[in-house]
Formats: sequence, structure tokens, C-alpha cells
Amino acid sequence: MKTIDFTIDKSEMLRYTGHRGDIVPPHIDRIADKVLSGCVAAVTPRSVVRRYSIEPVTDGVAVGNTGLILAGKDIKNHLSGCSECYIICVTAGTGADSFIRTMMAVDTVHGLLADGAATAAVESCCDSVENTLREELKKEGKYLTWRYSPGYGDFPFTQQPDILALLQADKFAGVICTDSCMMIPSKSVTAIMGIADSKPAHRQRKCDTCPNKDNCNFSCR
Amino acid sequence: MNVIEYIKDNILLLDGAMGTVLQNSGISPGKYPEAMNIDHADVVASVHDAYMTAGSKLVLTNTFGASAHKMAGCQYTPRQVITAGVQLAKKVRAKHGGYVALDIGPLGRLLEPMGTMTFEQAYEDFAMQVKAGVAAGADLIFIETMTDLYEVKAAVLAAKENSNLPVFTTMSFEQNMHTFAGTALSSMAITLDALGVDALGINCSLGPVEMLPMAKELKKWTDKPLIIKPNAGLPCLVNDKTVYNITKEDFAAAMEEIMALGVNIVGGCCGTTPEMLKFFFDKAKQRTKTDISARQPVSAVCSSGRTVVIDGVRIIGERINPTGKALFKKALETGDMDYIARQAVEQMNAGAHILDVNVGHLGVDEKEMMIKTVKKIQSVCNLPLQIDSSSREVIEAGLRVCNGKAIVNSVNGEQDKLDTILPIAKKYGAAVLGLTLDENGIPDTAQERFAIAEKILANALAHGIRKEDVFIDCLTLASSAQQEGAVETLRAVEMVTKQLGLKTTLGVSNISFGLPNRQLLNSSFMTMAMYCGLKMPIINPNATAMTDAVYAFNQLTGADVGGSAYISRFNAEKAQKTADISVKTNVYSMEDLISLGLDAEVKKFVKSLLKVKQPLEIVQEKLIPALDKVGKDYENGKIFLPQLMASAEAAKKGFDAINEYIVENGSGNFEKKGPVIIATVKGDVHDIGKNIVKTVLENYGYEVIDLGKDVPPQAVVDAAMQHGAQLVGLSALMTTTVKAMEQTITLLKQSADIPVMVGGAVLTADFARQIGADYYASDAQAAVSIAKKVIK
Repeated sequence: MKTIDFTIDKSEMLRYTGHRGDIVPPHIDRIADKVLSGCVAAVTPRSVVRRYSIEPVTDGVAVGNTGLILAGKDIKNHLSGCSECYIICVTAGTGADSFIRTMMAVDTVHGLLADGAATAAVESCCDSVENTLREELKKEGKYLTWRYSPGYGDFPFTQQPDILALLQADKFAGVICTDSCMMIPSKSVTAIMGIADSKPAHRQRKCDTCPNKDNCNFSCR
Repeated sequence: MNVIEYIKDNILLLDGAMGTVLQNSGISPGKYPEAMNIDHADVVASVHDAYMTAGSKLVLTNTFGASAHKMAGCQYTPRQVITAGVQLAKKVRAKHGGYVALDIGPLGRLLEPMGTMTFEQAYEDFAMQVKAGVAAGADLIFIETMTDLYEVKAAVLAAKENSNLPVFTTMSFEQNMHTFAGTALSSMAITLDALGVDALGINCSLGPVEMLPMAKELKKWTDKPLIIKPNAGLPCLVNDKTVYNITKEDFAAAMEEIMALGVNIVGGCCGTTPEMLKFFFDKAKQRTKTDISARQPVSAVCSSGRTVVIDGVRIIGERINPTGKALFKKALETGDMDYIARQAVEQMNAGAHILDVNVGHLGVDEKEMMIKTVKKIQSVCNLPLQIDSSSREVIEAGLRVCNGKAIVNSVNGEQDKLDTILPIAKKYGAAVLGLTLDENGIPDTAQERFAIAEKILANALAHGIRKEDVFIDCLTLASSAQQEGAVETLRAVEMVTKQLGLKTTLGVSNISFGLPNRQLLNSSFMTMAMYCGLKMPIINPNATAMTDAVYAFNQLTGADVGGSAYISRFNAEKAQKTADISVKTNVYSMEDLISLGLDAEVKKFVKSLLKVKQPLEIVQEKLIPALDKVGKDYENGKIFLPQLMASAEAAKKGFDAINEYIVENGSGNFEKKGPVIIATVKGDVHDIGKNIVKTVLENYGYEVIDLGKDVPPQAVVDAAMQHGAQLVGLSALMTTTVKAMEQTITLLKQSADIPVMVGGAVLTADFARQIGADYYASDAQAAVSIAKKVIK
């Protein structure tokens, strides 16, 4: 069991609940602190990381000899110039989901903040996994692009089940997919990162490539 | 000799990995490895043969994934691959002797509350597999690699109710002694032992070295034969391949250490090979069976994630019970499960260790409500449960869906009661609570109550229930009516504790009935009773003085080792107190109180207003204007969502006060508007937005019927028709589930002309129109505006 270092950044947690950088009133701040520490104790982060050789094909990118093709021009673009990639699955675990349910039973304020805290937790776990990989690649003189997930751009999230199956995410991280391509535990992420020989161009902001960018209350500004 | 007889005197050698060996056979197992039982029967048989040649006495059939969900899309049915799998294994067995176990793995879908599969659906899937395995002639059923105790329970019940075969069960743990799904090792052992499986243990996920401490832990909780079936070390990812890299020497050495603990059913899991196991088996065969030394009996109950050992005083929370609680009764009548969930979490946070669950109320289907309630509580709270009903059917229904080991409340000295309830407790592996009364009522003397306790114990033992799972309630009588009764009760507690060695419970608060300063009498009596041996007071844990007294008692008697529970309770309380904002209600307006989210103050304020104003006036003149103001602030971006919700929750407390007033006085009722039906659509499990809309709509006086998440289109239509809905609200998070939303709307519009509003992350006003919705609600406040427009 590999432990994943993570922190829950309070401002991130609040951003996921729609906070826009104004003052947080004390009665919310107090609950936020309580929920944050509860969430840190409750989450059970796990990850699966795999490295594959990749090859561009007409409709996307072929992953090693696994038969999986990551579909779309956006993922192809993201991985252009890379001959390998990492595919990762990171989850805040069933502990995060049960914590959110318990907090929701207290009231919607606790529930909402717990949801934000768990989202911040899984994002931090992803950062931690990504940073570890980036450091490891440095030793090889290689670079990492940023995390690209099913649902970004024209990379369909209907590929989620295939990606999870490839990683055996059920076995190694306890993550499964419903028929409608939702991951359970709900605070889970899959992502593709390209491995490049030269430093990739400056990464775009997360929100720029999001299909929901015009309709989102939580964008980072 | 069947396998149960065999393991009495022998070490049982199991087989090793199937999947990894199949992969090396040169034929790719593909998406459905179980289909090989038909397409490449010879290859599968050769794996069984290799293990039996290496010394395995038992092989698991190649049916790990032979379940409806995992086989979906395969040309063969689960039944076909199970039949073929058992038959081919039996052919190999004919050559070597030994046993063929029907292998059952996880269903591939997560059960409620984590996922969407119900306990009952899981049971049906497993039952199908068991029946197929029995028909094909398997010698036993081996349920393995499970991570959710609830799923295991469904499988074990399916195995026991559809066959007479022995049942072996193993789960996969991480090194923290929990599974991915949060099942604790101790809870697994306690629950499966109580459910009466024939052997239990651990497989997969870890190597033998990591399993050694787990084997030690298992021994603390069960006397059942233990199974250890580890991987060939920890998995390493070498490029795109999973590799297990323990040597056969290290595997054997670690396994021998495990066997020395008294683990006599051993084999391998992922990455192990016939060669590796042969090396180990050659050594294992030189050993004789190690018997596990007698274990100190432990009184314990558990949920999946939490084990509660009755080695100090443990509080049974009594609040999930409608007796004398008008709001609880109303919640049962309206099916308000969120109210019940809140009661559970409140008691957990107040310091309860076990929750009593009683939902008996005139006009409510108690059995159905018990099932719903147990499932709801389990979804928000991990305390073990005590299933409380006078009906055998209700008790059985509650125990069946309870995840963990529960307590049955109750039996008593009536022979009829003992004969009907004890077999149920035994079957579902529950502890029993016995009341010291019988056909003649409650005896006056301690001696007579002791005699009934003896009778209950004797009957429980005769039904195979262990002594440590029998709890006795010596019964509290009102001190106002029978003053001498208190001392008799205490005497009985002492006698049952010392002479029978049983743990006792008492419903404490009866003692003060009809007298002033009830809390004083309650806590004094409870402290006296604890000193006489009372182990499980049934109390309201929200009554701080009572709960504090229990924590103090455990500290003073040393049951709370190191005082950790005591210290953390009172340190947390101190922090809470310093953080509380003290408010003088009279200097704040309702608007201020609601905008600051001061729920307790809002409730107080409303209560004081109820002395001079009608409920409707308070709602229209005070609560709604205050809500409108925060609603406007939210729309204008002055406050963010948690603030809006804090105000909504505070207002809700005000409405609670009004509801209590109406229920108590039976007057001043005001009509609710609606109803509005809300649901998160089929396939979608993200319901936070829907919950927010519900809270806000309720505050504006709408009756909201919440159908929950993952709701099929037909269920929405049925509910809308049944309740005469005036508005239906649907939520969906992703584009995949918006399809289900569209289907729901189409179906709804075919049946009735009910306006539909929709919301969710990927929706826009345009998108909403495209799928046929009448309204798009961008947030909860917008939902209120729509409701105002639609419902006049």
C-alpha cells in the first residue's frame, strides 16, 4: 500500500463550493475547519500508475499493444511529440464518499463543504502522484506533460471503463465504473500524461480546455 | 469424507493462481476468462491438473467472474460456464482425489450505499451462481477476493439458503487491515463467524509476509478454521506488466510461520504457480495440523467498518424510536428518511456506541420501514445496530439487511418468544437481548428475574448462540410508583453479572418517570447500576450529563485504557465551546439570525414568537422575508453557496419549531404547497445539487418528495402520478446521464402534463429545452422562482 501525501487547501475546498475569494464569514469558516480536518482523517487515497509506449493513429493515440486507442484530436495533440505516456487512476477512496454522506446527514452546509474538501483532497493526491512521476522522469532526462482526463476537449469520457479496465483499477485501487461511466468512489480521477524528451510548451490553464467552461461556477480565475 | 470432516484432522492445501497461469498458456483469456471453460476446457483442466499434481487437495473452479454483470456481452451465460467449469474440475479431481470448490468472486458492481446495486439484487445474482454450482456437483462454495462485507453477506446467505454445501469465505485486505471498501478485519471475522461460514480468512492483494500480522489479528476474533491464500508477494508494475517477485523459498518460509499460528487451510493467489506451491506443499505436508489455542471469549458487535467490544460500558442510543416523539412519528408517516439519518448521526457524534432501531408505528408498514431505515442508517453512520421490534418478521427483515453483527431487541422468558426469535438470531449471527419478564409479567424480586435470565441463557445456548452474545435487561421500574424497585433492579444486575457472567443492559430513564429533575435521577441510577455491572445502558446520548457519566466511569474503572476516549471527548468539547458565538437573541432580527446561520437562535426566536403570533404569520412575516433576502444576496453574488445553505438550514430549524408547535397543539396548521417530486436520474449517483434544492424548496413551504438518486424513469412517473405532483425536478451531472433525464421527461409527458424543471453541471437553458424540459434551474434559488411560477 503506497501512501500518497496530500493536503486539503482550504481556499481550494471553498472554491469548489463556489467561493470567489471574498471574505469567508466566521460561521462558515468554523464549519469549514471542522469539515476539513474530518475529511483529512476520512479519505483513503489510492492510486494506480502505468507506463505505456504510445503511437499516434488516425483517430487518436494507440496505447502500447493493449488495443486501446485514446480517441480524439485533443488527446492526440496533448501527446504529440511523446513516445510514451503514464495513465493514472487516483481516488480519495470510499472513505471520502462515506464522509460526504455522513456530513450531508448533518445538514447541507456540512455536506457541501465535505464535497468540496474531498474534491480538493483528490486533486491534491493527483498533484502528489504527478510530482513524484515528474521527479522520477528527471533522472531519465525526460519531461512530463500535464494531466489530461476523459471528458476534456473531444476526449470522450465514455472511454473511462476501458481505461479503468486497462489499469485494473478495481483490483489495485478499488475504483469501478457504472454503466453511465461514473466512477465509484465518486472522488476519483483518471488522467493521461505524456512523457516527452523535450520540455513541453507551457501548460494551458485547466479551465481553458474544459467543455463546461462557459457554464461553470467554480472556475479558477 | 467431506471437506468439513477432512479439515478436522488435516491441513487443507488449496490451489494457486488461475488467471496468471492461463495467461502463460499462450491463449489469451480475453475479456471473459470463464468462457475458456467451454472454448478451451483442456487448458483450464491442465491448470487444475498441475495444481493437484503439485499437491493441492482442493481446486477452485474457473468461475471467479461468472456473474451476470461481468459476463454481460459474452456468448455464454454464467450458468453455462459454471456448469462447464465444475464438470471439468471434477474430471481432474477423479484422477487425484480431493475437492472441487465453486469459486465465487465479486459481482463487479458496488453495492449500496457506495454503489447502486441493492443487497437484494446481489443476493439474486449469487443465488443463481450457487444453484448452478450445486447442480453441476461442486463439493463446497468458496467466496473469495471480496472487499465489501455487505456483498459477502449476500453471497453467504445465497450459499446457505440455496445449498447444503460447506461455505468458505475470504476477503482481500490492505496492510491497514481494512479493505478498499472500508471493511475492518475484525468486523469481517466477527460477522462471518456469526453467520456460520465453515472457514474464513484472507486472500489476494498482499504477500504471505504482509499477511502474517493479519493472521494473528484474525485469531483474536474467531475460532473458525482459518484460510490464508496470499499473492506471490506484492505486485510491482514493470512497464505495462504486473509482476510478483517473491521467491518460492521466501513464500514457503513465510507460509510456514503463518501455519505455526494455527492456520490450516493454505494456498496461493495471484502470481503463484504450481511450481511455487509444490515447493511449499512439500514442506507443509511434513507438518501436522496446529490447533488454535482456546481463545478468550469476546462480546462484540460490529458494522462493516467499526467493531464495538463490550469491554467497558457501551452506550446504546435510544433515539431511533417513535414512542413519545411526535416529529419522529411524522417522519415515519411521510417517509422522511433524512430525518432518521440525522438522528443517527447526531447520536454517533454525541458519543453513542450502538444504535437501537425501532420503527413500529400504527399505519406504517413496519417491515418495509425497518429495511429502509437500516439501509439509510448504514449509509451515513458506522455504528453497530440493535434491531428492535416485537414482530419476528420485522426483526428478520432488519437483521437480513444489516451489514455487520447486530443485536436483537428482544426476547424474554416466554417460551414462545424464545422459540420464535432465537433461531432467527442464530441464522443471521446476531447477539440477543433478553428481558427478565415472562407470561406472568415483571417479577418483583431480583431472584425471580435472575431465574428468567438463566432460562433465557439456557435456551440461547441450546440454539447454538454463544454465552458472550447473550445480554440481559433486568428492567427499570419507575421509582415514583415502586420505590423499592430500583434496588431490586440493581441487585438483579449484580447477580446476572457475577453469577451468570453475562453482560447487562437497562433502559435507564424509566427510573425517573413521574418525578421532577429526571436527569438527576437518571444519571444517579445509571452510575449506581454501572457500579453493579451494567455494561450497556440504553439512553439518549444527546443528554450530555448521561453520556459524560459513562465516559467518566470508563475512565475511572480503567476500561478506557489510557483515557483516550475521555480525553478526546472533552478536549473536543472545549474547542467547540470556545468557538461558539454567543448571541443575545433580543438584539438581533430574524433576518440577521438567518443570514448568520445561527440555527439554535432562530429556533429559540421562533418559539418565543409562537407565544404571540400564529404560525402562518411567523412564516410569512419573518422567515420568508429573511430567506428572500439571502436568496437575493446569493443571486447578486454577495454570498456563496455554503452561506445560502447555512441560512436555509437555520430557517429550517425555525420551521421545525413551528412543526413541533403544530403537532403538539394540533392547531394553526398551514397548507403546504405542491407536492414537488425531485430525483437524480437513473445512472447518476451525484445528488448534492438535488439535496440543496430540496432544502431550499422546503423552506419556501413546498412539500418535497425526494426519490433519491439513480431513479429509473418509471419510478419518477409512478411517484408523480401517485402523489399528484405539480412540479417535477430532475438532476443529472454528466452528458451520459442527461440521456436518462430525457427518457424520464419523455415518459412523464406521455402520462401527464406535469411541468418539469432540470438542473445539473452540464445542463444549459438550451440543452434543457432540447431534451423537453419546461424549465432550467441554474441553482436552488432559481428552482424556487420556478416553483413560485408553476405552483399558484
